[in-house]
Amino acid sequence: MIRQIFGFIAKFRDPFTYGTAVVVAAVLYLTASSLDRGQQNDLTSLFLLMTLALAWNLVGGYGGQFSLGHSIFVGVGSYATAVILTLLGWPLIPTMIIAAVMSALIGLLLAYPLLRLRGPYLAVGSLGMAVAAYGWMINWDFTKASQAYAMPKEAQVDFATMYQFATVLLLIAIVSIVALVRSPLGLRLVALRDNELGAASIGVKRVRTLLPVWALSGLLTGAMGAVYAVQQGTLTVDGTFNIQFSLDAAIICVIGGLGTLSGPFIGAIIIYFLRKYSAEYQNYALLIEAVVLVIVVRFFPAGIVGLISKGFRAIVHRRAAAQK
Amino acid sequence: MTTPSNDYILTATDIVKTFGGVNALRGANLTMRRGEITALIGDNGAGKSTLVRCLSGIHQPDSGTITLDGQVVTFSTPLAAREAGIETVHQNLALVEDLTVWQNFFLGREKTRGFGPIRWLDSRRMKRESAVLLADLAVNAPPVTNRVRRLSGGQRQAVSIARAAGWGSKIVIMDEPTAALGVQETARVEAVITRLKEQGVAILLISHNFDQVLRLADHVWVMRGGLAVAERRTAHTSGDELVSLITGALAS
Repeated sequence: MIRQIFGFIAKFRDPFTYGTAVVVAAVLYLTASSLDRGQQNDLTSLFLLMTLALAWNLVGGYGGQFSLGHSIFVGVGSYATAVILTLLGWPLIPTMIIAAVMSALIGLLLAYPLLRLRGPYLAVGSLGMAVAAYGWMINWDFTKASQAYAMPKEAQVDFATMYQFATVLLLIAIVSIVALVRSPLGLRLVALRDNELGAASIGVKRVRTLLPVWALSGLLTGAMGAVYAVQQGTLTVDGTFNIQFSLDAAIICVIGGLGTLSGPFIGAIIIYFLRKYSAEYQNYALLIEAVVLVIVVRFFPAGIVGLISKGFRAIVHRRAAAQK
Repeated sequence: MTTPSNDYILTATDIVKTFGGVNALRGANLTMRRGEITALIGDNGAGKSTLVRCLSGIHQPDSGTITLDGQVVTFSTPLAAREAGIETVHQNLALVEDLTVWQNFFLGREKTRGFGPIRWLDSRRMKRESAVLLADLAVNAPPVTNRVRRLSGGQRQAVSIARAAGWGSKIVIMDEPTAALGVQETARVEAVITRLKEQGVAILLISHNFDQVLRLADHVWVMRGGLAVAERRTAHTSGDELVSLITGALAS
């Protein structure tokens, strides 16, 4: 009996499936009004961080491509929202969708040359693109160059609406990523990461597999940038095209577990609260984060999800051995 | 239509392939009969691998014709050869270690369900089908939900061969399928090969092991210096004769 229970748990060690996603999102959505504004703002930030990490995890975790260029998607999503609202005066939600689509197209555009690179070369290549995009934006008068770009009045929503945006976005991210991971594309993506030559020899095409993945990652990150722009109210190049976004996503995924569904959630919760409560120690905050990262990489390189599933497996095997 | 007299599933005639100044193949010939195991032997550098790569679409021959099932074919990519019914089991196995057996089986040709463009993997069906295919061929078939990383060399080879055989293929090319295996494992893989032959698949076996060739194959082609210099029925030859043919001590 006990053995069966543990076997059951071990089988379902990645609990983030469609069902849980819907339940979690519905509960959070309905509780929006009962939270105070501080909590709503906190959770918005946390959900945006989760969405960012989930989107990055597609490329960096499942695809094994350590992108440091995701800040471009955040920047494109947020600036596109601000510019369309100001110049064209569209309603807010269609604007955010169009901004996300633009970010997806940018994703395709970046991925095409980047996919010639692998491993650390891809990391450096994408970092170069992020730096170039930053350099362009800081000098582009169309978006007020290095000055702040204020979001227009239509984008000023209350905390509850903002929180609902973030919740819906997170839900979309979970559902689309679960769908992708369970599709043939997801299988080919992981196969390419683990044995590119082997996958290629039985007909898996690298670029054809990876381009849609980059596009989806760009779409979700761009949407996250759009909601982030609404939350911030005022955009600066430093606040959006900042490489910190790529680094945050990577750190969250490494701590939580690269290439897992629940890793980005766990990592995002840890990093978010670590930062929130270590902020009062100022510079030591960075040091604390670094120590956590080093401990994870040194002692459980598969991240927290890897550690948990290893623990479950060990228990199940011990039970199985004891029963024999 | 194939005529009854045409009992060759594959013929390759006058295949020439040069790499820069190196003449890897200088007009090689090869025939394979239906339902037989044809062995291809020769010293290192004789051109075995190049010939096989021409057949499986990795290389394109400079000249010469390949006829499959009575039709002249040219393969521009490995995928084209596979679609025509020629599967290759590579020496390095080409399995993805971190995926499970059934995922490896269906990689690139996944079975899906869903509606319209929204598809997801039909893992239950793929597990069932791969388990059947594998159990048909191998005695020591591993559970299909195991990761390949945990399989022995022989089990991996069995998975590769079953994958190659599982697509209604006409020809399976095996490049030294038992090169890295122990005695017991070799026997198991040979059993898989024999079973595959019984299912009516023509097999091209590349091997350095004469005992194995004489035990398994029906027909042997010997290559030397980019040419197929001799062919023998295994029933009418011996290890000594094959060695002499390979080294050139005995003229064909």
